[in-house]
Amino acid sequence: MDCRPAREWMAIAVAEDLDAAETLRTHLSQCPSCQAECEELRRTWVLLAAWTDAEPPTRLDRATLVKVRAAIDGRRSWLRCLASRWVWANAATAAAVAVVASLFVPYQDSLRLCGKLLADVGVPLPPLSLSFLVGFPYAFLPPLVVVLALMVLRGNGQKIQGSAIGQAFTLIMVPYIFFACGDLETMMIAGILLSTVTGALLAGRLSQWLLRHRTESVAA
Amino acid sequence: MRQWYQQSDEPLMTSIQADRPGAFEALYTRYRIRLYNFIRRFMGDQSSAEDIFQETFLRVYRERHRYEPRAAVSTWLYTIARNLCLQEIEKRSHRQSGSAHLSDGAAIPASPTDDPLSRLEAADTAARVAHAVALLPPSEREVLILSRYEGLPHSQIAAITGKSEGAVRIALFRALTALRDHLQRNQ
Repeated sequence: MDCRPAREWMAIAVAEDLDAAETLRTHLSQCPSCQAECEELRRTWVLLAAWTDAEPPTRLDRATLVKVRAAIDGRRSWLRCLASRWVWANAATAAAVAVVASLFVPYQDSLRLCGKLLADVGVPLPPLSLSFLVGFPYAFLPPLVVVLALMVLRGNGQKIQGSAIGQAFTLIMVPYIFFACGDLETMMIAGILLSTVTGALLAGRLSQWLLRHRTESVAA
Repeated sequence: MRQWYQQSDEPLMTSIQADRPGAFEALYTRYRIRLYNFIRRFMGDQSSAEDIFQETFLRVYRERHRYEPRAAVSTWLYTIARNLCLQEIEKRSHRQSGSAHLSDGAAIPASPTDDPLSRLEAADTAARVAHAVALLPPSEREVLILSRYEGLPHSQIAAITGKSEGAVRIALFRALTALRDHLQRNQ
């Protein structure tokens, strides 16, 4: 007698407490060994109830919700930061520093000087790399200087949102780059844009790290 | 806050996707016991069960936008928890091949009487069951836990585990026979 199809249905009969499918019923009436097996499985199923449910510990609830709330607050605070006038005011200050610097030493002059200097020392760079190298300090230094100045001027570093200032700075500077570098080659403009985004975001991350480090040292 | 507790799972999930305050906490309250016990039984040890429990809810929040109402919320939640358990088991098998973690044992069940002897017996049976379940291969253990302890129908277990319903039935049959044999041997 082939017991295999009946065995598959036994699991259903035991688990879902059904009267079992017709195939199984018929088979069980003719096969004492499967009947005994089905009965044993039912007993095992009942025995498993001994392993009862447990309540999650309160400290686990607390720790889990703290983690999730930190994720929720992190997201909300990022949006709130970008919606804050204070962040935009500081980003605008950093952008003003960058614009003034680019008026005194325009991107075009920097590119020429830097390209010549590198060629003289035997390291000629392709246009994209050269413009990236030149654009980077214009985007990296101003937001970092502004955040560091705020750190010195304000007692509570926690309230300074370095990352958000870096992001807002990028948004202000991108249109300016097109305005200030419109006469450059596309490749050069692309390099400066890339360095502006990278430099400002890196400055934001670095200043955020410095702020956290400072807050932790003060707390310690 | 109270409004969330009256909502069914799917609208609640939509509220979480829309970042409405209090919605996530309501989902947490609804599923904390079920997911905790599923993970605890699957992993067999308290420490990694707690880590996975936290990670499950964190992932539910982070990936809330990936939930699609085609599937039941409970299926989605169990799938996340199950995948994290399997990842941990995989990592563990690399670290120490084959040895089952049984440090947790089982929660001591409440006894109908306050008789210390029957409490002890119940605790002993629970520990034997926990030990036997921990020895099952993960593919059978997950099916057994979802069916026996979570009370899920085979169709939903199939959706969570990515198996066919026939494969779920076979895995459950194998798990039950293995448990029966183990429990009979260790009576």
